[in-house]
Amino acid sequence: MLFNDRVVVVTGAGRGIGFGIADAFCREGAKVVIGELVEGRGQEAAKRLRAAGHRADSMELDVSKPASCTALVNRVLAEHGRIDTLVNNAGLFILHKSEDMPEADWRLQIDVLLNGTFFMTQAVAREAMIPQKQGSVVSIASIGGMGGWPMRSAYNCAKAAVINLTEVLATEWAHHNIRLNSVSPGVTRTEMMDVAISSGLATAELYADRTPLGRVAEVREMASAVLFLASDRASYITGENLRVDGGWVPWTNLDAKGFPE
Amino acid sequence: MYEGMTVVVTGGGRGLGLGIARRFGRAGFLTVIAESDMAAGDHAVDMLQAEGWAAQLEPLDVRDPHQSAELVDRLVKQHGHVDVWVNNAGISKLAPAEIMPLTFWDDSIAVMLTGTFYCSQAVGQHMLSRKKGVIVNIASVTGMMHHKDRAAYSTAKAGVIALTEALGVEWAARGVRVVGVAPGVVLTEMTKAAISEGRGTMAAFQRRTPMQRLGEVTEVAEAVFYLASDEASYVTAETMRVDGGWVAYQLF
Repeated sequence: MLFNDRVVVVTGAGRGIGFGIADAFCREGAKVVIGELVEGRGQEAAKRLRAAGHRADSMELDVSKPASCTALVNRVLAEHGRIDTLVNNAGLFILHKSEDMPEADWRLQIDVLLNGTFFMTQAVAREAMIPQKQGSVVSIASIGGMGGWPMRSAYNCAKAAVINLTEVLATEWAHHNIRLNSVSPGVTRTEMMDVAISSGLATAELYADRTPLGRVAEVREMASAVLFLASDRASYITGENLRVDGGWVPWTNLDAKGFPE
Repeated sequence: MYEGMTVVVTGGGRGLGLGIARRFGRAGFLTVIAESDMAAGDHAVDMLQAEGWAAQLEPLDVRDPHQSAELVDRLVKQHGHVDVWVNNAGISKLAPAEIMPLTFWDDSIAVMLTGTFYCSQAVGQHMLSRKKGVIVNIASVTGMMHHKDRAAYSTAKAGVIALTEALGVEWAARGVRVVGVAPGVVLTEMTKAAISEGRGTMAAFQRRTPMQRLGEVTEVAEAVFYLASDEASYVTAETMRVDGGWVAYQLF
């Protein structure tokens, strides 16, 4: 198995893409630690994984707080001795017309998506991967970080910054034998997609029609990309942002219906 | 798992192409080496067969659209289908742009860009008809960033990246994925030749790469294989860098 006995930390893995990633690592033999803001959700997810015969645990984590990141990393090191892979997945989005974006919601999204990715990666690198001289990090970016979407100024800026942060850290830590890459999912069938639909931003049909492949993605299609990049199969890949978007970004959609007002 | 599936690797007689063919062979594919250099192709097929993989040699000059169309027809008659096609054939014609022989330009575009289109069109018709198939194009980091003497090579590879997006988008809804891999500097005959011509040194290539080493053929082949597999079922119109951080690194 690709990750036999490897120690893998996945942030925000209580549900959605994060849970799918944690599950996929478990199936490849990894010991998975879920970092979750909502502890009950993390514990529930870990319990589900253990019930399927996997090795999984959950710890409380607020990625926007450096002390919380360091505490989780030290707990993982105390229990498992090392961290082989970190997946920065924790995220949220809050839709606002930019002219009405409340300061608190701007700051919260930047804090979790961008600052959280940095603080968590910094803690893992400093405490585990640099001393080990080995490690791989995959951060979940977004096709939103590669272009403009209405009402997502904070989310898209933060995701664009995650792509660049990945490039910076990849060049900075390559000599420590740490690889860092990002995956930019297209629209994926998760609760987050349901939120966007129920907010009236788009419909399921609009998403499918807007995608050259003609459908939204399944969580497992994101997980397989994360596992590939995290694994030794990708030993010469670092600083890369892999789009897993069914052709979304390079498509000029001449039949665009436009986003709802 | 992949028994009964067929992959074609253009320029599979040596270097990266041979490494890619070997990776698919190891997985159980029947590997077709499509080569203009029959001696290299023969040697490659002998090597693959000696390693226990199913391989056959077919003559192909990618500059001639009739040859790629006929090859696809022949393979479909023989094996029923072509599952994966890797556009790997390439040439390296390097010279300062202001004095570059025009044949360097024409040949580079003809082999790497136009050849990729001809082959993709021929195999694309077949794949679209069965609503299934993956085309993997070998691009290059040189199609994304540029240095001297490589105007023709860079432009052809940039064209390959654009073509990957164009065909990927156009054929996505009809079951055909089109993806690319952009290798950084990999230790192949082509790189050795560039070094021996004085167009870059091993030390400079290593220094310029954040991972401080050249890539291995196996590392590029693994990326090609991943993108061709169902693991990458939602990846299309995308070119993945396998470059040790080359493109991400912008400072020195």
